[in-house]
Formats: sequence, C-alpha cells, structure tokens
Amino acid sequence: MFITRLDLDNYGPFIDKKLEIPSGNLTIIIGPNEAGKSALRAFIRMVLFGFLNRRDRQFDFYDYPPVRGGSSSGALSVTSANGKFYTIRRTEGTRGGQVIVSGDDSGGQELVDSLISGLDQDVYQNVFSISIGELQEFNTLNSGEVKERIYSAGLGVGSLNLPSILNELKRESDNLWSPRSGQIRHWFTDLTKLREELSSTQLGLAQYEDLGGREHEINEQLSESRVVLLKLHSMESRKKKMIELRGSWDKLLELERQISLLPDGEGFPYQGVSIFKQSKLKRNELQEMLSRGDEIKDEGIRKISYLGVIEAFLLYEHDIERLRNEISHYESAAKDLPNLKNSLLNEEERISEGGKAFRTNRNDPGLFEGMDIEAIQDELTVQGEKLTESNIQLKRVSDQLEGMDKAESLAKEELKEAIRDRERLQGVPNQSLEELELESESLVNLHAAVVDQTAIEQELRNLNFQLSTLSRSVHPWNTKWIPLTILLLGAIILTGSIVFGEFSGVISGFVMAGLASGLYFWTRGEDLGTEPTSFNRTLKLDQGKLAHRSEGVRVEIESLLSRLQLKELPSEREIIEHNNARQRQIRIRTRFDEISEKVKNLTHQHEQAHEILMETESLVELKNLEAQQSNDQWVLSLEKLSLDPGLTPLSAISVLGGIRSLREQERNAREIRQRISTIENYLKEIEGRLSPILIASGLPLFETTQALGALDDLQNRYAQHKKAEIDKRLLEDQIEKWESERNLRITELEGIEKKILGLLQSAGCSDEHSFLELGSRISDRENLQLQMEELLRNQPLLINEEGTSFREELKKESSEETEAYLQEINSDIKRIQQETDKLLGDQRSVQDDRDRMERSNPSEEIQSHISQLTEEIEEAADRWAVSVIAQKMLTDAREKYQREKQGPLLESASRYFKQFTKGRYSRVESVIGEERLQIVDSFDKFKDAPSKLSRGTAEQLLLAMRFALIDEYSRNSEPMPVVLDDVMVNFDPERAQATCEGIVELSSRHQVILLTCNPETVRRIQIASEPLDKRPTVIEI
Amino acid sequence: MQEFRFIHAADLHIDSPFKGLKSVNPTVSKALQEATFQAFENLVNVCLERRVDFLLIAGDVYDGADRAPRSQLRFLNGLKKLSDAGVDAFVVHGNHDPLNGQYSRMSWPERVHTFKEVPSWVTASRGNIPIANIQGVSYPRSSVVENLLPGFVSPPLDNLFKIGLLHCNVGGNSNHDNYAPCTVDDLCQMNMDYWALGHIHTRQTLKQANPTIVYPGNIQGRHPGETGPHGCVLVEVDQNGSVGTEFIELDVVRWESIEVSIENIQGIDDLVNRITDRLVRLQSGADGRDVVCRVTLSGRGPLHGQLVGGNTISVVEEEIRLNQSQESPWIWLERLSDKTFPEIDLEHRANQDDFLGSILREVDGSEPDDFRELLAEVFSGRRHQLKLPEDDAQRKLLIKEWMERARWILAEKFSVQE
Repeated sequence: MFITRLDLDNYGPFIDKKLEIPSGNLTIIIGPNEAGKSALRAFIRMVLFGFLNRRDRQFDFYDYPPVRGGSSSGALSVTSANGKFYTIRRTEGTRGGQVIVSGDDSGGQELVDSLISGLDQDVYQNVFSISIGELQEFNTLNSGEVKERIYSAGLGVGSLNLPSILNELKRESDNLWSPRSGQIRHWFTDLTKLREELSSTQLGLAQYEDLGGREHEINEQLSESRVVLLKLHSMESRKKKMIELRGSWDKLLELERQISLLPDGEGFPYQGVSIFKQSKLKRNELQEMLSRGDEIKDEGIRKISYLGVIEAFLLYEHDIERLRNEISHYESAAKDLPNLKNSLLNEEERISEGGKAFRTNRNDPGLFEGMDIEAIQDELTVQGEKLTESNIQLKRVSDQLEGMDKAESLAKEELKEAIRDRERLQGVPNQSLEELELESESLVNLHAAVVDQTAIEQELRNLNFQLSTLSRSVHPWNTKWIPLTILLLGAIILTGSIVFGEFSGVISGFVMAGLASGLYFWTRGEDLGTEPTSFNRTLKLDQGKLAHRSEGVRVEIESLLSRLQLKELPSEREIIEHNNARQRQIRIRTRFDEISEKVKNLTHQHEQAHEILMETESLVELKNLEAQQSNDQWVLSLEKLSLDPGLTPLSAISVLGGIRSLREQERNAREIRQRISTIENYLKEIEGRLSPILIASGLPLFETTQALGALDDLQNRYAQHKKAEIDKRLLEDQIEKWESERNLRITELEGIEKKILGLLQSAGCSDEHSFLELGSRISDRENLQLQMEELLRNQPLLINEEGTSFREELKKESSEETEAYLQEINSDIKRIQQETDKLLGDQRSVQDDRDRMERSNPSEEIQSHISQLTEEIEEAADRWAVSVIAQKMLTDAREKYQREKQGPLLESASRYFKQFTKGRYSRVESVIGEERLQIVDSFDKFKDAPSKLSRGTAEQLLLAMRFALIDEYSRNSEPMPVVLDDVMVNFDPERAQATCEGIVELSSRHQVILLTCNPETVRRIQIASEPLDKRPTVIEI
Repeated sequence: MQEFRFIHAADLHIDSPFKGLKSVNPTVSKALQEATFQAFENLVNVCLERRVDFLLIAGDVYDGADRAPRSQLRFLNGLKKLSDAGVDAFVVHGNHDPLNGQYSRMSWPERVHTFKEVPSWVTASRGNIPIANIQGVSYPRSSVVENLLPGFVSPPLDNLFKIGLLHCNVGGNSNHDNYAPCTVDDLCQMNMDYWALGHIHTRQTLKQANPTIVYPGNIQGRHPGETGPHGCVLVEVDQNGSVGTEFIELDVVRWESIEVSIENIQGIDDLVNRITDRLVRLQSGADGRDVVCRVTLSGRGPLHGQLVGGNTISVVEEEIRLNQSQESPWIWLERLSDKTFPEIDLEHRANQDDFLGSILREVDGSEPDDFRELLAEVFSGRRHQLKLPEDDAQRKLLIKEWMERARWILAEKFSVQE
C-alpha cells in the first residue's frame, strides 16, 4: 500500500490541510516543533484503524483533538499493490468512527482491513509507525505476535525452561562447592582439623612409654618376691610332710616288734590252712553228688517202662509220614467228589433240555458240529441288517407318499378357493393401477392449485384493500402542522391571558403548548417505524409477487386439466368426489391384482405338489421291490443252514447263540467226568497204602472213600508215638552220661583224701586240730607283715632313698620341734605374700592405664573419621563434577544452538544493528529457552542484555529490530508504509548517518515517510540517497 | 637341596582403620576393628598348623608410621608364639611402616629378623642345617621413589635356595603409589629363585618359575575396593628347588561388592527383597565369614524416579539392615549406591533433531580434557585436596564417565519438562 495524499479535514492543528505525497518511496516531512508532525503520524494511524477509545492506554499518545473544535475527520488516498486507487475517509464517532472507502471499490472497515492485509493495530503501532517513544520502550516489542516472531529462535527447545534446568543444576553444584561455601568446602575444613587432631594424639605415646618402664620395674620386684615365696613354701611343705610322716613312723616300729614274736612258719605248706579247708569241703561235696546221681538213674529207668512206643509204627514210619502229608488232599478230594457228580447230572439235564428248546428244524444241535458258528452268525447278521434296512426305507417312503398326497389335495383346495374369490369380485376397472394412481394424483394437485388460487385471490383482495386504506391514512397527523397550529393557538391564548391577566387562560395556553409538544413527539415516535410511503412500496411489491404467483397457479391448473382430459375446471367439491371415486377403484383394482397373484402362486404350488407325489409313488415301488429281494435272500440263507425260514433276523441270531452255549455245556460235562475218574483213582491209591498199616497196628479198618477218620486217628497216634520215642531217648542218654561221670567223681574223691593226708605229714602234725592251730599263728604273722607293706606303700618316704633325710630327721627331731619350725615359716610366707599382692595391685593399675590408652587410641578413631570424610568428599566431588559438566554441556550447546538457529528476523536485525552501530556490535540474538535478547560485540565475546546499553545504542537496536520486523511482515503480505517520527534524536552524527543509509535502503522496498524537525536529518538522507541516485521528496509543513 | 616350606605374607596393615564405612552397628564395628588382628592370628596359626620353616612378611606390617602400641604388642605376641615353636620370621618394612616411624620399645624374639635399609643376606636354617638364603630391605622413610634393586648384593656362593623380600611396585601399578618401582625383567636379573613381594593388595603371580614372583595381596580386605578372599601364600620347595604355591585364605571379614539391576522391579518392596536375596546368597558362599557388602543399583527402570532425590536410598538401606542378623556370621550392607538411569532410550533421544538431541550429540564430540579447567576448582591437586588421576588414560576415563552421567542427568531433566 502506498499513501498518495493526506486530507486533514479537521484533525489536531490541521484544518482542510492537503498533503500530496508524490511517487517515490522516501518522503521527508519537515517542520518545526509543534508543527504537527506527530499529529500526522497519529492521523495516518487513525484513518487506518479508527479513533482510540478513551480507556485505551495509548489514547493520550494519539489524541489530537481539532483545535477549532468539531468532530475530527479526514481521508487518506492510497494505491494498493495491484494498482487500485482508494480514498479512506473517517469521521469521528462511536466505535472508532465512521469509515467510508470509495474509489475502485467501495466499502467500510472490512475493505480497509483487507488493504492493510489484516494487520493488527498493535503490530502497526509497534512496527510500522515508530516514534522516539516506541524506541525508548522495550516492552513495545513484547506484544504477543511480535514477541513470537522475535523469539522463534527457540524453536526446537519446545516448552523447555532452560533457566530452570540450569538453576537447578547450579543449585546442586553450589550446595556442594561454591567460592565461599558448600558441603565439600566444609568437609575439607573438617578434614584439616581432624588431621591436626591426629598429629596431636602422637604426643600421648611418651606417656605410654613411661607406663611401660614402670610396669617393667614392678615385674622385676615381683619376680624376686616370687622366688622367696617359692623357697618358703618349699620349707613349709617339708615341715608339713614331717608332721604327716610322724604317725606312720611310730606305727612301723610297733609292727616290727610284733612280727618278731610269732613263728616264721618254715616247713609249713604254703597257704596250708586254706588248702586243707578247701580239700575238706570238696570231699563232702563229691560224696553228696554221688548219692544224688544214683537216685536220678533209678527214676529214669522207671519212667522208660511207662512210655507208649508202638512197634509197628517203627516199621511203617516212611509210609505213615507220606500219608500224613496227603490227609488234606484226601479230605478235599473226598469232599469234591459228590459235588462234581451233582454238577455232571445237572449239566447233562441242561444239555438234553437245550436241544429241544431252539426253534430250528434240526432237533440235534450236534449236527452243527464242525461248523464255524461265529462265521454263520456274522453272515446272518449282515443279511438281517440288509433286510431290516430295506424294510425301514420302504416304510419311510410310504410315509412320505401319504404326506405328499395330503399336501397335493390341500394345494388343490386352496387354488379352487382363490379362483372363487376372484370371480366373486365385482366392478373391477379396466384401467391399470398405475393409471388410476396417476389420475388420482393429478386430481389432488388440481385441488391444491384451486385452493392456492383462491388464497392468492384473497390475499390480492386484502392488499388492494390495504393500499386503498393506506392512501387514505396519509394523514395531517403525520405532519408538523397540527402541533404547530395547536402551539400557535396555545401561544395566542397564553399571550392574551397574560395581557388580560386571565389565569385560566395562562393554564390553558401552557396545556395547549404541552399538548402540541406531546403530539409532535408522539408523531415523531410513530415515524421511527416505516414511513407510510415506504410501507406502500412494500405492499405494492407484495402485490406484484402475488400476481406472479397467481399466473403460475393458473398455468399449472391448465396443465392438470389437459392431463385429466377435462375441458372445464370443475368445482373444488367435484374434484374431491372424482378423487374419492378414483380411490375406490384403486382399492378394488389392488384387491383384484392381489388375488390374481395368489391364484398364480397357488397354481404353481399345486403343480409342484402333484409332481413330487408322482415321484414319491415311483420311489415306493422301487423300495418295495428292494425289500422283497432282501427277504428272498434272507429265507435262502436260513434254508441253507437248515433253520426255520420263518425266523426273523433277531430270533435267528438268538438261536445261533443258544446253539453255541449248548456246545459249551457239552464240553464242560466231558471235563467233569474226567475229573471224577481222576479223584476216584487217587482215593483208592491212598486207601491201598493205609490198610496194611492199620492191620499191623491192630487199628480198625474203614469203608471205601471214607478213610478220613482212620487217617486222622493214625495221625494222632503217630504223634503220641513220636513224642514217647523222644522222651525215651532223652532218659537213656541221661543214665548213660551219669554212669560215665560217676566213675570220674570217685577217682577225684580218692585224690582229695590223699592230699589231706600229705598236708598233715608236711606240717609234722598228727591230727587235723594241731594242723589248724599252727596254721593260725603263722597267718597272724603274715597279716602283720601285710600291714607293714601297706604302710610303706602309703608313705614310701619311710623306706625309699629319697626319704632317707626325712627318716634321719624323724629320728633326731621331736614332733614339738617340727611344729615350732612350721609356725615360723608360715609367718614369713604371710609377710612376703602381702608384699607381692601390693606389687600385683600396682602392676594391674599400670596395665589398666596402658590398656585404657590402647583401647581409647584416639588416632584410630580419628583415622576412621578421616577415612569416612574422605569417602564423603570423594562422593560429593563426584556429584559436583557431574553437575558442573552437565551445566557446561548445556550452556555450550545453547550457545552453539543460538549461533546456528537464530531465525531470519534476528539475522536481519543483526545486520541493521551492525550497520547502525558502525560494526561496534556484531549481532543481536535471542537466548535459547528464554524470552530475552542479548547483544554480542564485534569480537564475539562480550554479551550483555540490551538494558545495559546506552540510550542511543539501545534505540539503534530497537530501530534495527523494527526494520527487521518490517521486512519480515512484508514478506508475505501487502507492504505497508513506514512512518518514522524523529527517531534519531539521540544518535551521534556518525551513527545517525549510518542509520539514514539504512532508512534509504529500507525505502527501496517500502514507502517511508520520515517526520523530522532537524534539517540535518534531511541532509543526511540526501547524502545517503546519492549513491542510489534517488532523491527523497521533502515536504515542509 | 633340603626340602622346606614357608609362608609368604605382606601388607598386614594391622590396626588399619576401615575405609569408606558410613555407619555401622556396634557388632560390625567391633568385628571390623578386630579383623586385621584376627587375620594376623590366623596367619600365625597357619604357620604352626602347616609346620612351616619360616615366615616372610613383605612390608606394611602396620598401617601407619605412627604405630599404635596395641598393634605392636599384638604383632610381637604373634611372632613370639612362632618363635617358641621354632619358626623364624623375616620382616621388611614398607611405605606404611618405614624405619623412621615411631616405635615403642619392644624386645623382639630371637627368631625374628628385621631387615634394615641396606639390603643384606640372612640364612634360614632348620636346626643347624641351612635351607635358604634370604635378602631383603626395609624402607628408611615412607616415600621411596627409587628402584631398590641396584642396592641388592650378590648372593653367597652356595647352592641354597635364594629368596628376595621386597616391598615395591612392579610395572607401575596405577592403583598403588609408585614406590620402589621396578619391572619383572629387573627382578629376573637378580639371580633369585623366589621373589616375595608386597605393596600390591591384589594377589597375583607375576612369574610362575625361574624365578617365581608373587604378590600374596593383603591378609584382610579393608575397604569396598578390596573384595573377595585375602590371605597368604604357602610355598613348598622340593629337593630340586622347584616351587609349589598354595593360596590360603586368612580374612575374617570379607568385603564384597555387587550390582543389582532395577530392570523389571516395580516397587521399593521388590527392591528390598531382591537385594536381601542376593546378600543371603552371598553370605552362604563366604564360608561362615562375616561379610561387608556394597550394593550398587544399576540399569534402567521405572524405579529410578523413586530413587533419585528424597531419602529413598537411606530408607531402603535401613530396611535391609534391619532384616540382617546381628549374630555372627552376619552380613552388613555397607552402602547402597544408586547408579541407575531413567527409562530413556538415550541414543534414540540423541538422534532427534531438537535442542536436547543436539546437546546429547555434542558430548560425543567433546574431549574429556575440555572440562579439566572447570573441574580444577574442586580437583585442585593441592595438599589435602582432591586431584584428578595423573595418568592420562585414567583421567580421561573418569571424566568420560562423568560426562556420560551428565548426559543422563540432562536427558532426565529435559524429559521431566517435556
């Protein structure tokens, strides 16, 4: 869009001011302060976007009320990019004022919006219309859409909040280590303290060494005391031993004296008295034994004579043993025999009965002998199944035939009934149903058209009536003459009343004036609606429409009449009656068509049923034939086996089964007969062996097959015989044994007698009494000698070499003297022991001190703490390292990303900024993940926030951002004119010149209107334009 | 040559403070304080049970040059026991217990031989029969940065088995201070049959034979980095001078470190159960020893969000500790550390064409040393301060790991905002 003219009808200081903007993209409007340059900028904004509401925060900034009063108004003449011309005129009013666009197209605000490509007024103000005010306020770049474009460099970071991540990491690492605090730092301090503490604990070692020396001294004293104590204890135990030996020593002397008084027993047999007494006892014992043995022998001989041993049994012992083993077999065989005989009788009876029982033309079942009954049975089963199957099939098709016959009759009856129904139906029209329905539809339409026509005629009549009424109602009430007349009348009455002092007249005058005013305003209120004339126009319009509709209905009626072949239009009632008649005909025709369809279907059904009936009859005949063949085959099979041809398959199988069991029974009978014969032979054989034994033993005989009793008796008797035989053998053995022992005992008795005699002779004693007395005295001496031996064994010191010194002392020292020595030694021991105990106490105390020092070894604890702390520090340092590395990775990546991913907008802004600052700064970039900008110096090192820049440089940055935004917005939409209002007031001359070059460059793509009060600016622009051979237009106001 | 056997141990670090323990209950604390003493007693008992001819201790008997009297007394008692049983002990001191450290006056048993700062030969005997020649050297001060092998003297002209006893860093192991540095080749040139080394706490055999070169490791693990069995080496020398070695476990408290992935774990209770199960299994494999275990949570999973921030980790730690037995053998959760990551497909995220994608990609192009200046603030390397590893590869590896974790942190923080 290009502004070609400004018509300032009434705006700010301008009245009917026209400014022509010649072609060429750069126009400088120069004027002194308060000439209205800012008002011009506000004017352009106002025409394009409307008047600002008072509540708008920018209102004061853009409010230029006409100095002469009245409503603000004015127009902009513009040319669009496609070459069309428009004039946009805006007049102050509500909702931004009234706007009218005229020219190649006409319209209102919508057309204006399309001319400025729907640009938002905030964006326009912040981007295209720039004054020093915008440049000094960074927030003007923070309106939603602009902000989004600037920080689009963060695309790819998504919703990430990088500062929060960085802060989090920094917090973590700072907690562990920071220049003045942090856990690791504290731990390092603790560690140093611990190490100092550790070195101080080494001093405790000297004290420990002193304790060691003291302990050594005590130990030496203790050793000495222990030696003395040892000696004393040795002396003490010697004296105690002497006291202990004294009693034994005296007893020894006494024993020696007694022994010397008794005979020494030389020549007396060794242990003679004891041997003599034992020999006497043995002699008595032997004599008693001999007498008792003889008595037992006599008793045995007597018992043998009473024992019942049977002589014959001794001869038949082997046979009897065999028979004893066979008794149970005999008993079982004898018991089985009658049962088997009964079984045989029963079996024979059943065989005889069975032969007669079967329905066969053979009386002797034995005739089947040699034939394979199972094969016969299988063959008959197959034939029987065949016959049964044929009969079943025949039955099934016969049943089907019966069913089909009934169905065919039924179908026939239904058909007849339907034909009768159809014949009964009267008054059937000749036309088809479709024709009748078409006719009826036309009648309905005709009726509707007639009704429509009547309604339209009625509406037309009403309209005509309204029109005529309306023409009458254009009434003097609707003019101002009536209230004026009343007002005039009121005024005359009021004047007259005042002149004549008539009070009621005054009231009447006021009343009339009031009435007139009321009437006037009432009629004005009425007029707010439709004016009578406009209503009339509407009615006439409606009248035209109705006439049009009426013509349509008439054409439709004529078309319907021709379709119904009617020459005249029947009345509405006639149409209804015609239509009713047609409806009746439609119903009859529908009924007729339905019945005809039914007849057709039933005829088809009857034909089908008849056809199936015929097919079934043929099938029955076929199955009948098959059944007959199967039956013939069956009879033939029975006759071949000579069985009753009248047998059914089921009974034939049963007969064959009976024959098979009969054959089984015959086999059984044969086996039973065989077993009876075997048993009888066995019984005879046993009885044959039993009889000679019974005869030889004189026992009673038995009936044939009844030898069980005799066998049991024989067994019992044989058992008794065997027992008696054993007893007899035992007794005989005893007698024999005693006789051999008796001889031995007699020899022994003789030996003892000789021994006693020898003892007496050796001792030189004539009799037993003197022998025993001498023996007693010798024994006493021996006892005394034993006591002396026992004494010496208990106190070996009284006899051995070791005890020599004791014996000498016992001889020399009295018991009292020994006691006195012991007492003296004990008192010495007590004294030394006390000294030792004291030393031990001292030793314990020193050791305790050393132990305590060892146990509470602080260096061990400190070292453990140091070790723990070191581990903690290492762990924390590990976490710190990871955290700071993560921070560096994040910041490095962000910087790289920033360099690589800044969008075209910031690249363009950087170019302008570099240009405006003459290369002092290299670029401006948005910080990734944050909505803020930072500027980078020419060395790509120094980075800072724009807020840190000087005022002029900050304005250059913001201007650069605007220029970039202007390019950005214009890339895809209508280029907008750019209005710059004294933007370089804070720029130094050099940068101002550089900026002017930028403005000239911008004007090659956009219309630029530069408002300035500074002729220097004009000069700079002119200088900047020279290389491009473009001369800016300068307008003075 | 006479057959004989000896025990080679090193780095007893008696009375060493346990490192890296945040909080322990009294039972655990007491057991840990006693652990190095107990392990030393185990060493003495093993010498007696296996009827060895002598014991070699290759430096760092004590943890610090400022030796606590208690440590010296316990050490003295152990050696007395051996001496009484006729077992000789040959000892050198290392960087932790150099000769210029503080000593208590102790009367060392006759059969204990401590090598001084000048290398010298000593002959070990069984009764009156010499069985081996041993040469060793002790550190005069803690920081011995020169190779000590040139000071070693030539062996005596006999056919006895020759043993070198030295506390040194072979091949510049970067996990330990580079004291008395030397190489395997250096050692091979010294005409020894067996090198009994100390200083490196991880058991390793540098050379199987001619000569056999062995680090037995320390006898008791002391921090989460010293996991698994620790002990000594029993060396048997046959008539031909062939060497057979057997490792014998001596540690009483075992250090372990396990990783538990949070993948497929939905809730904190599940996590507690899974860790507890792993700890129970671990303890059942510790041969009745007490166990101190560090658990590192790893992997990606929905649980990550619950673990970061707040006190969830300490709550889980406490819960697990409550469930552990207080009776020996116990297992103590030393620390639960969280190295889990959020459920983010980092590589996929890095491929996206947006800001975060560009950061994550950018890291691949960064050099670890780019961050060195930034890190110097805390890793200043000044005395008593932290420093970055001097070894280039190690430093870069560490910073790389931090960079990777930083990537995850950024991805996580961004994903929260997205």
